[in-house]
Formats: sequence, C-alpha cells, structure tokens
Amino acid sequence: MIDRRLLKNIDFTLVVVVFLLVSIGLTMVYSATHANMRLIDGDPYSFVKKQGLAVIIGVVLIIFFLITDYRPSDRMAQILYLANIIMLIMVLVLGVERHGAKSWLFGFQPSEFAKILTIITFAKYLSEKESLERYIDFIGPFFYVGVPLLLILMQPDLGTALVFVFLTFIMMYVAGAPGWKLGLIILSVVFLITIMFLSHHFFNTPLPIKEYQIDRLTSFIDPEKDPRGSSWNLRQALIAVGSGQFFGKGLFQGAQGRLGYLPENHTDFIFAILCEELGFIGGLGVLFLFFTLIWRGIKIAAQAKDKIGYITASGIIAMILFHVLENIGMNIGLMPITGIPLPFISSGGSAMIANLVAVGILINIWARRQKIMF
Amino acid sequence: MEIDFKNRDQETKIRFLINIVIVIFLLLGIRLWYLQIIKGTIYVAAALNNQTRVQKILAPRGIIYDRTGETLVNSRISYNISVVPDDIKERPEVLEALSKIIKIPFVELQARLEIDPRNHNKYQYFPIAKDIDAETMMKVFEAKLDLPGVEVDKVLVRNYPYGEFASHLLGYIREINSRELEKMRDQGYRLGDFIGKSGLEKTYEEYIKGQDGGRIYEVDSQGRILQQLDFNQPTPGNNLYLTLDHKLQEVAEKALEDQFLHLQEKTDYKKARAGAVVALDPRNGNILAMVSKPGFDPNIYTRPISKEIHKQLNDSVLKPSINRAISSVLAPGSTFKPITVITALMENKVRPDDEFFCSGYDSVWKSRFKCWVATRKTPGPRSHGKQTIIDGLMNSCNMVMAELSRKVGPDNIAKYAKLFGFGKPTGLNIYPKESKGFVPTTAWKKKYHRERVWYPLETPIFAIGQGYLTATPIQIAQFYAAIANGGKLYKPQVIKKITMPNGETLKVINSRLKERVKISQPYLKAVREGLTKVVSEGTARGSFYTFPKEKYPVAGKTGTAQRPGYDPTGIFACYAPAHKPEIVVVVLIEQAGSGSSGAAPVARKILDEYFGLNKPTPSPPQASPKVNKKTITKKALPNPAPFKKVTKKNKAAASPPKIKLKTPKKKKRTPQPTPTKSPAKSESYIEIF
Repeated sequence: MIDRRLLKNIDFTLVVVVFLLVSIGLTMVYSATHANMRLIDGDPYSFVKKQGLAVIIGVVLIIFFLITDYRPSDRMAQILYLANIIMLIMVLVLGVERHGAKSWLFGFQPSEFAKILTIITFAKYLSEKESLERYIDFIGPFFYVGVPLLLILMQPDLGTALVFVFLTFIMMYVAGAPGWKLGLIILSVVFLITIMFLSHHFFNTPLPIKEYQIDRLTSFIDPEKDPRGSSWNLRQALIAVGSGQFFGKGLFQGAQGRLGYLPENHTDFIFAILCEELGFIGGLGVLFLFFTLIWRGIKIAAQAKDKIGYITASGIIAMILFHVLENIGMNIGLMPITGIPLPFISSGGSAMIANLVAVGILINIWARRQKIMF
Repeated sequence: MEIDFKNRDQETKIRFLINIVIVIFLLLGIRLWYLQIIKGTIYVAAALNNQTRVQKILAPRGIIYDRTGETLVNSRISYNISVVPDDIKERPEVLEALSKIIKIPFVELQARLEIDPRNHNKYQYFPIAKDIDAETMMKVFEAKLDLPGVEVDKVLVRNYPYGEFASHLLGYIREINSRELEKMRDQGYRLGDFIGKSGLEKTYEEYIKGQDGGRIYEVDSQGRILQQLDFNQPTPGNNLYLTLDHKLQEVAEKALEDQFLHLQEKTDYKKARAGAVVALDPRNGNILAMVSKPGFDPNIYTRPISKEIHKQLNDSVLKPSINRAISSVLAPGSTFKPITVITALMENKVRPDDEFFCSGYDSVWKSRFKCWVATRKTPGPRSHGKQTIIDGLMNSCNMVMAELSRKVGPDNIAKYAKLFGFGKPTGLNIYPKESKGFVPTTAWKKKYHRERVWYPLETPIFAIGQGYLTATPIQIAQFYAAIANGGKLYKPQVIKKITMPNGETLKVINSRLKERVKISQPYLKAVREGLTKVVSEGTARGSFYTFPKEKYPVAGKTGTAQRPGYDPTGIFACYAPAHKPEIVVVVLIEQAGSGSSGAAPVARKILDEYFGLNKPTPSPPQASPKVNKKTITKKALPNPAPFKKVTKKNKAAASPPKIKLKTPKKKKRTPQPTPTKSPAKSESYIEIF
C-alpha cells in the first residue's frame, strides 16, 4: 500500500521528537491528574487512558494522511472549508459550555480541528491566488479566514482566535504578501487596541471583552497585584516553575499541582508542573524538543516541492510555534493567560489528534518533496 | 541549515521565520533560567510558605520559686473546646448539644464562629470556649460520641497560685499588643502571644519565656491539613529562684491589709488604704518581702478584662498598678533623722554626749518650727527637755535636729543623704523602673526653683525629712541596712539564681556591694543606740511592748510625714536583731496618721514571723484582736493553702472602700483531682484563682 520509497523518505527526526513529546505528555498528564480525586473519579489512569486513545487515533490518522496527498482538489477544499464552517456553527448551536466558553461538541473541541482544516484550505486558497502584493489583495484572504475566526471568537475562545490571526499572517507572508505591509496592518491594529484600552481607562468607553478577562490578560504584568484573584494562577505557576530549580523536585513529587494550588494543571499549566518536577533540565529539554520540531518544520516548508506544500507546512509551524510561545509564555509569566494547550503535552484528546494530524501532514510534505510516481 | 531555497523571496522569508523562532526560544529559555536558577530559592520559600502551616505549641513559661523553693508562679493546664467552623456549620445539632453542656447560649456560640477568614482558616480548629472548668471538660468528654468534630485541647495558662500576692514584684503577662508586636516581631513574637508586661515577668521575659515549638503541616490550597511534616518540641522557659520568702511575704501582705482595716475602723484615719512594705537582708541586699497595696490578682490578665475591673485597675487615687515599694515618692519624715545626726557627727559639729534642750519650740523660729511633742494630742509633757543626740533619735525630737542642721547646713545633710543612696535609684532590676526620689540642695533651689533662694527655715524642715526631700521605701530600707551593716550599700536584688528546665543552674546572681560609706564606729554606735532606744523606750515603744527585745533587740525609727491635703504618712523603718542585724523592714502607709501607731505594728508582725514568734502571745496594744486571732489560727495549720482561704475570707469581710481585684468568674477552686488526670497535673488545680 505504502510505497517503500515513501517510507524511506519519512522524517525520522520529526517522528522521534513527536514520540518523545507525546511520552513526556502522557507522563505529565499522569503526574498532574493521578492524585486529584475530584478529577479522576477513582481511576488514576483515566486521563492517561483518554490521552492514549487520542494518540492511537492520531497515529492512525497520520498513516491515513501519509497515503493520501496533502493537496486537496478544488472540490475537496470547498467541502473541507464548508465542513469547517458547519462544524463551528454546530458548536455554537449545540455545544456544551465549559470554563465560560461554548467550545465542546460531542466530547470534542471542534476548534482544534478547525485550525488544521483552516490551514489546509487556506493554503490551497493562497497557493492559487496570483497576487498578494497590494492591500486590496489582502481582503480576500482576510474574509476567507475571517469567517471561521469570527465563529471561534463567538464561543468565545480568544486563545484559538489568536492562533488563527498568527497563522493567517505567517501563511500570507510566505505566500508572497510583502512583510512590511503585513507589519503595518499589525501595527495599526495594535495601535487601535491601545487607543480602545486607553479610552476605556480614561473615559470608561465600553470594551468588547469583560472586565475579568482584562484582569486575567493583564495580570502577568504584575502578578502580586491581586494574588488571591486574577493573578492567582500565574502566581502559583511561577512558584511551581521557580521552586523546581535546576533538577526539579522529582517526577510525581511536585506539590503545587498535587495540593491544588495550580488549577488546570493538566491542561493550561502542565508546563509549570513539568518544570516543578523536572526542573530547569526538564523545561529546557522540552523547549529543545519543540525547537527541533519547528526547525524540521521550517526545513520541510522550504523543501516542499510546491507552493501549497510550502504554505501548508508554514501554517502548521506557525500554529505549533504560537501554541508553544503562548502556553509556555503564560506558564512563566511572559504572556497573558489565554488558555491554549501545549501541543502533545497538555491533556486533551482533540488537540492531540489535531496536532498529530498536523505532524502527519508535515511528514507527508517531506516524504513527497521529490516527485514520486505512484 | 542546508536548505536549497527555490528563490530569493523564499530565502528571505524563511530566514525571517528562523530568526523569529530563535528569538522566541531564546526568550523562553532565558526566562526559564531566570525563574528556576536565579530566583529558584525565592520560589522554593514561596512554595513552602504556600503549602505549609505552622501550628504553634506554646512553651511553658519558667516557674518562679521563692527562696525556699515554694512555687509562686507556674502554668496550669487549661482546657479549650475547639471545633472546625466549616464542619460544624453543617451540623447545627452538635453545636446545640455543646451549648447545653458548656452552658453558653447557642446564638453566642454561633456568633463566636463568625470569624474573619483573614484571621482564621475555617478548615482548622478554632477555640469556641476557652478555659473551661474540669467538670465541664469531663462532661464534654462523656458526651464525645454525640459531639463529632468537637475537640478538647489542653493549653497552658499562666497561674499565680497565691492570687494577689507580691503582684507588683511578680508582675503579670498579657496578650502582646500591636505596638510591642511591631518592635518584637524579630524575636519571634506573633499575634496572640503572651508577654510579660510588668514586674519580674517583664524584666526576665527573655529568660522565662522559653522557645515555642510547633507542628508544621502540609495544607492544600483550601487550607485543609493533609499531613504533618515536622514537629518541634517546645523548650520550657528558665526558672527563677527569688530571694523572697513566701511566708514573710504573706504575713507582710496580710499585716498591711489588716492595718488598713484597723486604721479605718478604730482610728480617725479612714483614708489609710495604700501602703508598701520592704523587707531585706542587710547583709547582702536580698529582698525578703515586697508589698505594695492596693495590689491586684495577676490571674485576671490571662483573660479578657471587664470594663469594671479595668476601671479599678486604673483608679486615679489608689493606683493599684503602681509598685509603691519602689515608686512611691513621699517625704521620709523622721526616718531621715539619722542622716542629720550622722552628718553632724561626721562633720565634727557635735559629739555624741553633747546636750541640747527642747522646749517644744525652736530657739530661732519659735512657733514657726515646733517639736511634735508640743502639739501632741496624747497626755504627757509638751517638751523633751534635756536631750543628747541619742535621746533626740529616741524621742524623734525636732529641736535637736534643728540645732544640728544649723550647725552643718543643708548641703552637708544633702551630701550624706546622697552618700547613703537617697536621690538615685537603688538599682533593683525590675520593671517598671523605680523612682529616684529627691534630695534638695541650696544650689538646686537657687538654680531651678522659682523662688531662687534657700530660706533658713527650710534647713530644719529638711533635717526632719520633710520639705522638698522625697524617698522611696526601698531607699529608706537601703539606708537602714547601711546603718545595720556598718555603711555598706548593697544593690537590692530579688533573684537568687536562674535555672534551666533540666535543673541546671544557668546564672547565679551574687550580691553586689555598690558603695561603702565610712562612718567611725563611735558615731555609728551612737546612732544605733538611739535607734534601739526608739523601740525599747522611744516612739515605737508601744508597738514592740510585748516583743522579746532582750532576745531580738530591734532598732528602728518612726516617721510621720506631713503631706498637704492628706493625712500624714506613717513610716516605720527598723532592723533586727540590733546587735547582729539580719533583716531590715520598712513600712509605709499613706494617710496612716503616724509612724508609731500607723506603720510600726505592721513591722512588728513581720518581725514576729521572721523570728518565729507567732506562738500565742498577748496582742500588742494597737493591733486589732480579731485580726491577731486569725494570725494565730493560721500558724497552727501546716499547709499554706488553707491559710490562703482564711485570707480570702478575711478579705471578703473587708470594708467596702478597699478595692478588690478578682477574676470575673469569682470561683474558688478546691483541690479536686479528676480521676483521669495524673497527680502531677491535678496539682495545678489546688490553687485558687
């Protein structure tokens, strides 16, 4: 079924890195959940089992994606884009609300898959666009991504929406849009937001987000401002990370998570638990693995045999990079807390499947970098 | 990276992406290094602070013993009832059952559980009723099955078994206030800790407080205790051995109080309600007894103090909080006369056998300066006639002193007064610090007094211990000790030694000779003779009429100091045995009218006790027979505890103006060892508080 030459072209570095990340992830999910009676409901492995199942599904999907081409046909792209939109609308209609966001549908988080679908379809869209030189050329792509982005914002899932924004700009950038024009757009948006906040601060004009969200977003600037309230999580995360010191407290020995000081420690704050238990060595190791992953991703993008492969790979790198930056950043007080998971490590089946599929696509692009005849 | 780029545009863009990636990872890595390596130790401390709670185990404060080893201050075990507020909220029936047993209304208990979460975690035990009695404690134990979540904790409470006894000397402890806390936080004090506030409790705080222990628990983010991580045994405080003699102290306390009653009931001096006694050993300066009345029961400070008691303690007239033995500054009156005599002798202005003449009126000032005999209300001559200086002391003749003072002048008297320790602290190490008293000089008056001139009449007034001169009872005692021991001024001391909890001696406090005043023997002999005659045939004759003076000759001096607006202060200072002095006693009673009948009887009773003379004897003329009978009964009983009861009963029968300070719960606890307790524990219950 699979060509032997295709197998020979698989990027094993990538596979090993992902394998290591997934293994660390499973271990850390166990560490973060096994002692939390409220969460696990009797079975200390319940989260690990769920995560493991997601890994198996993900690996099956990787194999499936290996034998199919990463380039969707025009028809296929339309179907996928439409499916994406329908899925996101269904979440808003039928979804279940958890942690203040309506992002769950039948036990899955469609927004995780929406990222992959958007990357694939957007890459197809961009690869067929003749020009991205002028501002006017930006309107089409913005609308193309704007629809799923808006639907995700309506959940509201600010973190995932930011991922969309980031990968849109990166994909447009590699697809040929002039960097300085994109930069100008980013700058003006930042300027607008600043004006909005300043006007809110001084003239109390309304903001599209709620007060507590602002507190949460800005708490990373001064974690001691409200230690029992908005900055509780961040403060506890910093204590977890810092108290790990060089070698860490030892696997399963971290107290911050076990004693309930760090909520969401198996998802958003799993990196803090990892740093507490495995220390600077562990934290740096995970950073190194992600760096290698992205490094390989960039190489894959550059060596892709066609424009769509190049743009798709770039989108996937952008997605992973942003997740790593945002998640680790918020764990160590560099980024505002927005609640997006750390790829391959945070507990969460949908994200695991989506990320594995993304890696599958990267492998696919790499395997097909030379023209191979089937 | 060996990438073969397809074109220039791709190369720029990929390189740009690579740069972004490198910057991001560098940032993350550096931040991680900063948090975990640079700030690691700070966060380790923060984590510990987060995850652990320290439950203090109070160290028992050191025990205070008297010179014979009798316990004066210790700690008793008290029982608190504690509940976990969060648990009990769901089970009001438990609280109801508890309210019936401990007899505190249900609503009151509920109100007590409304705790500020900043002060107490609702998942941890909180004392809902403090210091319950043994009987209630047993009832709670019996009903334990119906009271899930209710715990009985043992806590140590400072205990003063004798109640109002040497209260100013021993002092008291009380919860630390915010001002002290600010100053002493570094020394490990925390909110709710008890700290010595006065007396020895404060002076020797660092020795007797001990080192609190604690349990360190791991707690979760809700504050629930998960496990004990560490346990530090508390170290008890060091023990103090005093120079005080508890029996002498008891007699002194009682004699003074009885004398107040006697004066109020049997004489015109109805306002005699305050006074002090100092008894010390002239051979080393050891304090044997120190009384200041009115006093207080230090036990009251271990609980919240009611407004009523607070008002009594701060009475502006009686000032129960002042230690009169060291802080009362009043004119010493005639007890000062030996200074005048010594001055004249030492300055060679007079010889022991020189004669003076007392006509009742001064030769210079006539009726403006009279001898006390000229105005006395009792029958007898109105003048002393021929007087030597020995007679002058014996009869407390003002005319002799006036003549002497004119010969030596006020500044010489001041010089000798200062030599004998007047006008400066004696150096007794106790808080609050003693008063200095005051010795006037002509230079002082010219410089600081608004009159700017020393009037000649002020010289004889000074010579008889009045006017500007003031002294504390302990200074007077120090002076009489010096007469007794030949001019040696010892630093008065109340602590003999400090021992560690294991019994080892930590520190021995030796007597310290501060100064030695050289007085030639014949002069000293003359003064001593005069003082001995005061007791045998002079002004104190009446009080010592029945005292075995042949066996234990007493040398003393009465003093009656005028105080404008008040009845005269009665003072009596003495030492005994006169030929081989062992004890100095100074008694001062405000508004007692006179030293001879106001203060001397108290000293007599103290000497009776000291020399073991409390066998049935005919009562001295001044002492009230009722009181005396009690004293006798008491001696027949071997145990000091029943004696205490007698005292209490006596006090209960006391006249209304005398202030009484008792614990709000005026309950007498009799020895009642409960079956569950070991004998050692039950011991602490024998005391009355």
